[in-house]
Amino acid sequence: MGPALRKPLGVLIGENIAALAIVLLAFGFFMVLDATAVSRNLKDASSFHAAKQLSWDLIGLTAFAAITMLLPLPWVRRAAPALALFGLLLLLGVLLLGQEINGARRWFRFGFLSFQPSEFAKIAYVLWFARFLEERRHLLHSIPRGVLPVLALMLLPTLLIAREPDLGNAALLFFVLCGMAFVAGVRLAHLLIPLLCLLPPVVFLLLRFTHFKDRINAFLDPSGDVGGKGYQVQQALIALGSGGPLGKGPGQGLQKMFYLPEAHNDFIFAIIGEDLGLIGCSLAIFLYGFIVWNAVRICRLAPDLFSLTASFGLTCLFAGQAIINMAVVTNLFPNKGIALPLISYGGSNTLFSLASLGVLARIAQALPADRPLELGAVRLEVRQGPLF
Amino acid sequence: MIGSSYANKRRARLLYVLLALLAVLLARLFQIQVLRHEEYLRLAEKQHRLRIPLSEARGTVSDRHGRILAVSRLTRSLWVDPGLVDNGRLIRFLRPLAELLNAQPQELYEKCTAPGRRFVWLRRHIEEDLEKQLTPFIYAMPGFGFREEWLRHYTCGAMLSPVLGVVGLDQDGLAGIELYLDRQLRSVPGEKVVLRDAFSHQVSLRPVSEILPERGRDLRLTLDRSIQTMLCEELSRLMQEYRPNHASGIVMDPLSGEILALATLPAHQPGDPIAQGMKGLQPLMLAEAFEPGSTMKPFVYGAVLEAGLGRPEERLDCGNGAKRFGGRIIHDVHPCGVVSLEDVIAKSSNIGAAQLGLRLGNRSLHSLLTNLGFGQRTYLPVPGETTGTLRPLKDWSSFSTTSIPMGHEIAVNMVQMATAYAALANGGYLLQPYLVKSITLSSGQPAYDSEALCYRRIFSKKTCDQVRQALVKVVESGTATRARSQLYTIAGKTGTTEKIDGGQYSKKKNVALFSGFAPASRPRLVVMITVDEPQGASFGGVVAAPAASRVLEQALLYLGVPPEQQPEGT
Repeated sequence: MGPALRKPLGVLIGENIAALAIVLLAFGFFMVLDATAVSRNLKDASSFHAAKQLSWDLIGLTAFAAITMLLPLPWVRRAAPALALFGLLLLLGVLLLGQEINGARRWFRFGFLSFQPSEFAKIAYVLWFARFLEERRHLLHSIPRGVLPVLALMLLPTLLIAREPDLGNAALLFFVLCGMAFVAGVRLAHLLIPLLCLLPPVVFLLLRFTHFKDRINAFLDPSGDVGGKGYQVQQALIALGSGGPLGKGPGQGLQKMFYLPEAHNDFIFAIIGEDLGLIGCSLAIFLYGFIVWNAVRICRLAPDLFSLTASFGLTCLFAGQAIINMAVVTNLFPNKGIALPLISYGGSNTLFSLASLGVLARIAQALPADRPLELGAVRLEVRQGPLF
Repeated sequence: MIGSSYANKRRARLLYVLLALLAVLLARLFQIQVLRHEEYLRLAEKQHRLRIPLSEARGTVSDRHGRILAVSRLTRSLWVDPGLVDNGRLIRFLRPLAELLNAQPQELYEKCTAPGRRFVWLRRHIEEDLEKQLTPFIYAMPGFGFREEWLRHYTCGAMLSPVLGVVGLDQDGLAGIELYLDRQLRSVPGEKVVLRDAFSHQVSLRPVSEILPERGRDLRLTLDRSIQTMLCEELSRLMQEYRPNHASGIVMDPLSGEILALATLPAHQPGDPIAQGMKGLQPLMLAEAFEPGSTMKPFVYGAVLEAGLGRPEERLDCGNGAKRFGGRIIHDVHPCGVVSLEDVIAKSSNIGAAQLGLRLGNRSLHSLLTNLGFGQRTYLPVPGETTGTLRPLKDWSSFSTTSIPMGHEIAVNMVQMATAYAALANGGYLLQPYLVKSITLSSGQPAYDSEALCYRRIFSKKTCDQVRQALVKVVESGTATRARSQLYTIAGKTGTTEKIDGGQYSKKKNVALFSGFAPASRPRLVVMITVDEPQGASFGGVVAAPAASRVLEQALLYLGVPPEQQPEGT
């Protein structure tokens, strides 16, 4: 094969990410169809959820395509501060004007559309933080001019999201930003020492949220609190466990018959486990794993610190959500309101997950063509043809 | 462009942590879905499966001609789950609902909001028209529902309740045949397992598993509903006329031992709440022992004839109403003078009977009574039977020789006595009395068919004929002339016993008895009637005999026995 036929590695990675996103979306669409197969009234009918999800999938894919194909990377970098500022304003706005659901203000509601600003703000903030780190990369060793501003910027959106309260997303964003700072070169000690100092007050504040304490208790013993907070997780475990290695067959599970609340939403992974078994769960995990693997390749080839930290941050945000969601369902983590990206039912989550993958693919496309690898790694990347 | 350094890229390998976490998730899934699969499968099945009990009807009880006496039917009962009750709607509908249920609104409200309860009966066995009126409420109010329940229905009402007994709300036999033959009558419950959703709604039509229930066995009794009605009418007439504690009667076929009617009044009215320790449900004809009094005399007379110790026409001095026997004096109500042995029975002379007893002696008397079945169970399938009292021979004194022939020092139940009279009527054969004619499986196959069982022959045909003549004389010209019938020759014996009150024979409290059979030439029916403490009259010949005669007359006509030529003397 001649070198002329060889696609640039970056393009290949971008195509991989696109293919993975589409497969995950398709998987998610069918699982939403499955999980909402039974409904108590016409409004909740399966076709309603699936149709709504499909339209959001299409909108999200359009955004993905637009970002990947049309948006020059320097524009992203240039627009990042404005986007982040807009995101912070949205976060402030939702605290003041948002719709209160179950004691939390996380949503804007426009007629039949509802929108969770933290979904957008997280991505915008990660992009801006990447640019900020790149611009200050020479100062990152200095405590007053590097570390303190970085810490301040890390805490600002975290506190706003935590105020909603949405502790799951706040913690996820905080640790993603920590990771980005670390990747950009902030010393580990400069990150760990403030972190350790913050820990006691944070724990103290957390324990004042009763629902957080309930969730921790439910996490420690999900079967002991059937009917309460632990009920959901216990039902998820029953769904997963009774599915077994091969599952009961698509649509054959019974846990979606109102045993498992939020079956199409935060707990869709349990429905996958019940109907498709360990096989289906492994498929989802491998799909997320491939996305992370592609991100690893992007990071290896990243030509600049912005690309590196931004792709690192976006990947951690995306995969972190998936991991937290699956860990909650398998009772490895206390119950958080975090959806399974691209699979769970939900509009803004799907849209912004696809948007962040779009930015990731855009970064991949901009990678320098076919650069030899450092550390003598095997050149798997240059194999011909797309992975999927 | 600002390049990313080698150090930055090395730090970016932090991404591998994500892959490691995904691997941990895989391991955790392996643990849940493979290693603990069975455990969670059990939990899932436990909550997905709904067990629906299936029930079938209790067996039917019918009379000898298949006329229904007791039958079960499905009714609906109203219940409420206080956990689902909507308080606002309850208050809105409380008054009309209470009116329909005939309950106090306050009481109803408390039942519907009982804290911590998830199942409260509001009204059981609702009639169909009330059910129709209630249905709109049930649809309008969450938490209310109907449940199907079986209801036992007794077609004869109080006429048979002491014999048939009753069942409880859960269809368990509580008394009578319903209790004694509960194992035959009760149905075997089944169970259906279906899949359900979290709100307990059935989600599949096809059951996961199903065990069909089995209907109880059907019982056919030897009773004849028509004769039972005749007997009960006479008993209730007695109840009105003499206001006794209770009046009991039995009609028996002397040729087979089948019991055709068995009644005691007053009796429990089925459907009424059971009060006073099931008093109206006691089968007094079995459960109560009484001193047979003069009704015992024919057997002693028969035994004397059988043993050749006397002849019917033999003259016997019965004195002028009082005669000393050993250490005591025995009295007659009407002084007899010198009479034939036959007339000792016809005039019911105690002195004569005592002399007959002396001829037999204790040993013969005791074996006579044992052979007649006194002191032993009759094994009718009704709980609460008494064996009566027949003391062992060694406890008998010299008084016994003269007491036993006039029916003292011994207590019997009515079925024992009727069976013994049946032996006089059928030529001397002691039969097993029985009440169950056949038992049929729910499939229609017979499970049991009764047949007549004869224990022993006590009297020869000649003796029986002679005793029968004496008993005819009782009715024609003796103590029971009020029992005379224009249609049939009735043979029988009266008895008037003094009840024991405070350890002594009471002068005021009597039991009036009559035991007899007809037609005398070829007996078809044995009847015995006892009236406990009749008011206004005391003699068996006055109180019990006319009633028994009327029962015999009606029942024989009903059975199609042609009326006889009247014997001489009428």
